[in-house]
Amino acid sequence: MPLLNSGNWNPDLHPRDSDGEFRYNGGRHRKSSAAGDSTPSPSAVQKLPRIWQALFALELGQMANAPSVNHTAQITVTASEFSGGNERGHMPSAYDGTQVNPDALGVALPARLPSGTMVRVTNPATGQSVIAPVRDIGPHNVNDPFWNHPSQRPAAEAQHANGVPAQNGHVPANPAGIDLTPATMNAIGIHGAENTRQAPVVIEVIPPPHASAAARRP
Amino acid sequence: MKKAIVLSIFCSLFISIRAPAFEIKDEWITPPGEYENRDIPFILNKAGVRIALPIRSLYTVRVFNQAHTLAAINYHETTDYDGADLVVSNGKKISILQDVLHLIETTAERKKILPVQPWDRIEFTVKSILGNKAHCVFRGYIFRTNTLVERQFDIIVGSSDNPLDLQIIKK
Repeated sequence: MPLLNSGNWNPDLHPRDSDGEFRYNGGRHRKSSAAGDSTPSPSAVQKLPRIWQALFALELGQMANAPSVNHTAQITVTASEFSGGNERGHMPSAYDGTQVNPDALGVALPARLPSGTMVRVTNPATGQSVIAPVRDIGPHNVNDPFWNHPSQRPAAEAQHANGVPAQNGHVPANPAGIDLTPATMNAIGIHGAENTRQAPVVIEVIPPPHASAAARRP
Repeated sequence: MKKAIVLSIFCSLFISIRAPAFEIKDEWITPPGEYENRDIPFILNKAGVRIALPIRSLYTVRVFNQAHTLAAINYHETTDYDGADLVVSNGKKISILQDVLHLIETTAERKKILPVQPWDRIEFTVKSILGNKAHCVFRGYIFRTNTLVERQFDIIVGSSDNPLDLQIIKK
C-alpha cells in the first residue's frame, strides 16, 4: 500500500506537472509485504494512541524523500535491447553520465533506483540467468516501478497497444518493460541481430544492501 | 566628484543592460522520490529568482545564444529518447518550452523534414544557437531494422510573448 507524502518539493514550479507529462510521485514511499519491512500501514497507525501516531508520522516523514526498495517477486516482461544504436557504446548512463558499455552486463528499468541495484534476468526459453547492474532509465518511461506491485504490468504495454505517449513524450515502438545490453542478451541466450532483439524474460529486482537496510528500518 | 558619480551611474546602467536575461545554475540535491544527490539545473533570472526546470534523467550539454536570451538544455531521458528543453526570454518574461522535438514533430513530418517511422531510439540535440535560431540534429533508429536516419534543421523561436511560434527550416 503506498503511503503518500507531499515531500518538500514545490510542484508548482515544475511545468511538466501541469500537463501531466511529468509523473512526480510526491516523494512516495512504497511499502511491500516483504519480510523485514516493518513500516506500518496508515490504517494500523490510526488505531494506535495519539503519541504513537505522532512518532510514526515523524518516522514516515523522515523516510518520505526516498521510496524503499524491496527484493521483488519474479515478473515476466518483454525485454528489448540498448547499445547506443550504430555507434555502439554511444549512450550515457542516467546514473553517472558515463557511457554504457554494450559488451558488459547491464539493464535499464523505467524508474530511478538506488545505485547498486541489480536485476536477475532469466530467459524462460533456455533457463539461462544472469545478475546485471542497473545502468540506465527506460525503456519509454521514467517513473513506472511496476515491479513493486505484483499485479501491475509495465505501462509501456498499454501505451504501445493504445498508441499513447509514454512518459518520455513518445509512443513506444514496443511494449518492453526492461532494456538489456547486447552482452546481457547474449548471456541468457537471446540470439539475433544487435539492437533488434526482443524476447520475454523473467526479472527480479535485487536492491543494494544499504537500500534493503533502509527498507527494514523500524 | 560629479564626474565619478556620473561615471558610476553609467557603469551600473551598462552592467544592468549587459547582464544576461537569465542564467542556468546547478544545485546538488536529491529530487523527490529519488535516492541520491545529483546536479539539477535551474534558471536564475535577473532579479535573482530561481525557476525550476523540468526534472530529467540526465542533463547533458547546454547551449546559449550570445545575448543569453535563448538557451537549450539537452538531456538523456530514457534508453530510447534524448531530447532538449528550450528557455526563451524577452528580458521581462521567461518561457520554458519542454521537449522541443515533441512540439515541432508533427510540423516537421508534414514538411517532410522528418520521416514518419516507428522509432526504436531518438537522439534530438540542439547543437548551437545563433540569435533566435537553434541548430538541431535529429538521429533516429528505425524500429526492427536499426537503420539510422539523420536530419539537420534550424528552429526559429518566436519572442517570449509568443514562444510557441516555432518555425522549422531544413538545412
